[in-house]
Amino acid sequence: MLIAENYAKLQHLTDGRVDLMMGRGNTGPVYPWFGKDIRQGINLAIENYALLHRLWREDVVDWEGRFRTPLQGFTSTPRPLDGAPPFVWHGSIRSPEIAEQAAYYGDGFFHNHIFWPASHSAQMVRLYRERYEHYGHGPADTAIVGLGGQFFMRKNSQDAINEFRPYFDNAPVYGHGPSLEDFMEGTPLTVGSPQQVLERTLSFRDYVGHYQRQLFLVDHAGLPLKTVLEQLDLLGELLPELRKGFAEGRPAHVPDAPTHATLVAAAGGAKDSTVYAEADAVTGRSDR
Amino acid sequence: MKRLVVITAGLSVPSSTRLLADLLGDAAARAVEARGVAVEVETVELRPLAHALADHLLTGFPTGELAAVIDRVRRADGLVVVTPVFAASYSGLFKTFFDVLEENTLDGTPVLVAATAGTARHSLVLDHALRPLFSHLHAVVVPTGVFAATDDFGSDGALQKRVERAAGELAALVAGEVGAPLRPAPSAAVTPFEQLLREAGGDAVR
Repeated sequence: MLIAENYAKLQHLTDGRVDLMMGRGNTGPVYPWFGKDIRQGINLAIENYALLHRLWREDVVDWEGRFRTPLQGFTSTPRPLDGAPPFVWHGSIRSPEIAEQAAYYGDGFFHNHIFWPASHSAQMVRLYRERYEHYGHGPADTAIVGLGGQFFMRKNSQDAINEFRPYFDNAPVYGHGPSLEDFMEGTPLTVGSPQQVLERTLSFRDYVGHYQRQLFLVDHAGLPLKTVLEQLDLLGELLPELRKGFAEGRPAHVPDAPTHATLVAAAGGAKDSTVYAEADAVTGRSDR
Repeated sequence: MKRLVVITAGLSVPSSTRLLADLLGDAAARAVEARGVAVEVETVELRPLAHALADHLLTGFPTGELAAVIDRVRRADGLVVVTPVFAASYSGLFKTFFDVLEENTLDGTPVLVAATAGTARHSLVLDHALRPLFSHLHAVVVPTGVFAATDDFGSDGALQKRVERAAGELAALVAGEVGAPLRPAPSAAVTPFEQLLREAGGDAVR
């Protein structure tokens, strides 16, 4: 309910430049903070999103579920901008149920694509694409896919490796395990020159197909802020090449990720979704 | 063609654990063939996989040869597992290998358990440590386990009798009508969304 309200509010504040990406949280200690049980993690994600989906699309909702008190005649406000809810991405590392959920609703699927072998990302994306088509949202190669990734770059690749290694060696997840070289070979992590980052990133399409969003983990492993900002500058310099590369060989029928404008157009145009109250009990007046 | 995988956690060269593993592997192959069924046996030493196993503990995924071994274990028709006794139980290396297997990897797999130690005083490790471990993993442990103390090797042939008996029990399961169930990689399975919705609502307990 809070998410329905806050993200609709955010749409109004940003003229619709809002996507929502959801992740379950996979660490044991998090769930008890909310009075929840991690063993119900999937069920919570399924039920909560089913409710969120309705709160954005139905002005008045009656609801009864397993994990929250029932709702009777509830209206989530503000209503989504122009009657079009934010585009939703479902993020998952290893839960096929979440890929299935994204496919069922025709929403986007995001795979974190770091820390683990790329073959795993490929498997999850393939599952999502197949099921997206199964549920009638369109051919598998038109499903909306996002990937994560991680790089560290310097003009000279050896400089990148020398500078990043001490952070890598002590980083969360990476530290004290396989070497930097092993992780670069076995997972999408790329440490090297901008050209190497460019080539590696453009190779992701080879195993997930043409996709819509590429996110990168940059602020990680204890890198100082100054270094992180330098990385962003380097990425900025690389962006034209990246965009050009992503456009290359991309079939015309593969869509871009939805925007507010395309979602409104797909719904047949903007509609005023304000909910006007019935005459109130005290004054007998309505603002209708 | 049936496939047996023999896993040995011996550390030294030569290793009496490896020696027992070879005795059991050979006997099991002969016993399966005696039932008119072709079989191939692969023996896996865990020692060269020790670093990859430690990495797997930290990263959550197997690399290189370890990934290949795990895949062959998943598809095996039967296992022979042999560990030295360390501190009154299986060795840490041995346990680590089974710790990193994904859930369901050994569902229904026939397993022959075996162990070595300096003295016969450790022999109950088969029943107090190995059997519960493989029961937990939903493997089918054959009734006879084989324990070999140092002085069992090259003595009166009693060890070979136990080896033959255990191998025969394993062969009966491996070559029998009831094979190990097909075990797909866990993440390949799809649960349709309508079912997920019902389960989320508590209609079916997972």
